Amino acid sequence: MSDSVRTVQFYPGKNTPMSPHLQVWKFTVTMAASITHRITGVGNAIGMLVLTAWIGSAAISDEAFNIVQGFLASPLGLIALFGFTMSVMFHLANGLRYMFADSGQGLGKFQARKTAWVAYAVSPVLTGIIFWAAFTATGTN
Amino acid sequence: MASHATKHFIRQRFTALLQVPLTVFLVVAVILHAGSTRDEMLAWVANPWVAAALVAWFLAVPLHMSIGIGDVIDDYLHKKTTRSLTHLANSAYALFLGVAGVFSVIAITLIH
Repeated sequence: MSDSVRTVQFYPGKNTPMSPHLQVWKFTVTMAASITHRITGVGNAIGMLVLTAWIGSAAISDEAFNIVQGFLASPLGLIALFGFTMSVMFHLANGLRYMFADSGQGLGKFQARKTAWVAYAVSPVLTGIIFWAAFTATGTN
Repeated sequence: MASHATKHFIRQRFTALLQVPLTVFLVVAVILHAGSTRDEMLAWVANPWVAAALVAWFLAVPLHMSIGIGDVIDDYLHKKTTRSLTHLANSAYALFLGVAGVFSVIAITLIH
């Protein structure tokens, strides 16, 4: 018996190799966009709670509506809204990029990287425009 | 989750396509209503076209959300019981948001 041959027993869920191997990826913008897409997706799902509370409170009563509206107009509420808007805008821009990829286009290495950068650039710009427009629409704020 | 790949693939893209115009519409509407009173908001929601768009949005988003988070759960949770329970919580959350959203829109059209 030589010990040059070693047998390894695999137990599913204990020592079997698992996907995805996030720690062995080289950093690329396409991989960052993919991860950000997931993070913003989960973030949007949490943000939906605020949006549903807003419309739900409008259906309930003046008091309920004022509580939610008051929170959204507070500094903390505005920060939350800003983050939520940015998250939705990234998910929207990058989602359109994935739809484009589903059509079989833009999958080349350089084009995929370029469109990923576009998604990162477009989301803060759109968020800025939205907040600028919202504050302008309300007049004094 | 993992055994309905094609169905989820198509649904995820179908709801995504629906959400693009609906979300743009919603964002523009929210900008225009940034300083509105509750009465002004109720009048806006009670408009039949707006109400229909909001209902479509509150049906599409929870479906899209539950499929997406379901994929994340499948990828990162490997213990069967934890995974199943998290899938259950994910479905319950989506159902809750969908029911609350759609019911609120219906209630507003009725009370306004």
